[in-house]
Amino acid sequence: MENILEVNNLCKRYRDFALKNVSFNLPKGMIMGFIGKNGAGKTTTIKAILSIVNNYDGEIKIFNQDVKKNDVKKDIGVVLDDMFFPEVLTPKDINKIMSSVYDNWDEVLFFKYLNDFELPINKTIKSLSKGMRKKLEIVTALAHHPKLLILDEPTSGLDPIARSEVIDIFRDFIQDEECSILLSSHITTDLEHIADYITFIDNGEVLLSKTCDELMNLYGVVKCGRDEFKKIDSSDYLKYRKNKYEFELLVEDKNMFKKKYNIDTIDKLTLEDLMVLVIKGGK
Amino acid sequence: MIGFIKKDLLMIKNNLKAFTFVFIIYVFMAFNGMMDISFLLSFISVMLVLSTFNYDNYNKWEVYAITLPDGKKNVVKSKYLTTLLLVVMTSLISVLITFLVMLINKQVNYEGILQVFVANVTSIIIIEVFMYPFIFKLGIEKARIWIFVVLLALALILGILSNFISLEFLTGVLNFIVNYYFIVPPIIIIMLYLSYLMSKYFYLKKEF
Repeated sequence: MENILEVNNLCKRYRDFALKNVSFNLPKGMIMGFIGKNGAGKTTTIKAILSIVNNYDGEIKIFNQDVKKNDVKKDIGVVLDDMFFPEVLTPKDINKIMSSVYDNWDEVLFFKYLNDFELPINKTIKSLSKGMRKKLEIVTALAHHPKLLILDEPTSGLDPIARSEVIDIFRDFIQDEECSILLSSHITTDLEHIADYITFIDNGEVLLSKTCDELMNLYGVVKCGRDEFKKIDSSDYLKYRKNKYEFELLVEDKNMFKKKYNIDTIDKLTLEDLMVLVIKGGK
Repeated sequence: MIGFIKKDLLMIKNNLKAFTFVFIIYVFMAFNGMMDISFLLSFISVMLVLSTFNYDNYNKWEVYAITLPDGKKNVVKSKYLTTLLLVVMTSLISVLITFLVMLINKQVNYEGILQVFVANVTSIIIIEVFMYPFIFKLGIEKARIWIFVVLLALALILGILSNFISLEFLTGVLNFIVNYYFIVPPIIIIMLYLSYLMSKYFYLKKEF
């Protein structure tokens, strides 16, 4: 499968934080959920992909071209957390500007999305609500027919209805199997609905990068009491967490676990469980 | 790049209302011989461009711009060009108003008008030449403080130098500039280009 984005051994050092050999691939026609707690390195990775941060080691390829040597931005749509056009501008102004920035800016599509999302054309960004502003950022990222969307927290601040509308647009976007999305979000339920791949980063390191199917079919969460927990071999689970009344165990191969310990039900893994157990859990 | 210039001009247009009132008052004062409008208009244009830096900084436009095609190249270039465009436009307006005032007073002096134009453009561009590298290096908030510190230091140095330089020498320099004002633009263009290179260097080196 052809990759639209390749990140290989990305390293970037700051005084108090470092990205350590971050690697993952995003194939064509796929959506990758990029998860991790605040400060884990998601935004820094995205900034490196977009050449916002310089002086990093490793290689980043978009459309098979090294981003350090080629400007590949014309086919990328971007939504960044709290970074956008100055707030004295209106959606109408943005259309005027972007029509000169992108050769393939689609004015009709832009105004169609504005209409679909009920966004005012002549109001300044300053006067829009947080949710409306976010929608405008998404619409702006989509209106030049990009092949790759890079979205940092695109659904934060949106109500459930708007989130569902946006997710539908993302689904439509990858329908022709030529376009892909890298989507960083704290709202893990959104990712469970649309992501094909999950890349989980913590403390500057990629802990896992797998297909959602792999994660959901193989991984699971076992809940048991203290006595049962004591009988379980520590090599058969990745992490455990002690709750008020029970133990929660993250297992990498739930079928094997079921057979070995004769357990009937193992809870389906959610991304929230995965994050909490990996970050907070013990071994 | 045209898109980035459009962005600044649209921001200025949206902010223009606040300056319209001031403009009308000063036009009125100029026609009544109460003050010279020529410098003020250029000054307003610089204020308008500086306000675009404020909004850019507040909404992190200089970071978002990098995600657009040729964004990194165009952020600095477009800012210099927008300022030039605006300074020339407002200076032309001020020349027109000066001309009308002279016409009404029946004292038209074409060389005087040209001197007003060159002096306006030059003085504002000098501000641009010195301020913009600071802004691109430090950001508009910190740059304001540093510009103030540098101006203070310059005033101090000039104050000290004035003890050693005669008034005749200074008058001579000023007379030379007034008489040979046509050599000022090439010097300014070179300074502007050097300032642009510095700003570009600082911006490209910046870590966001």
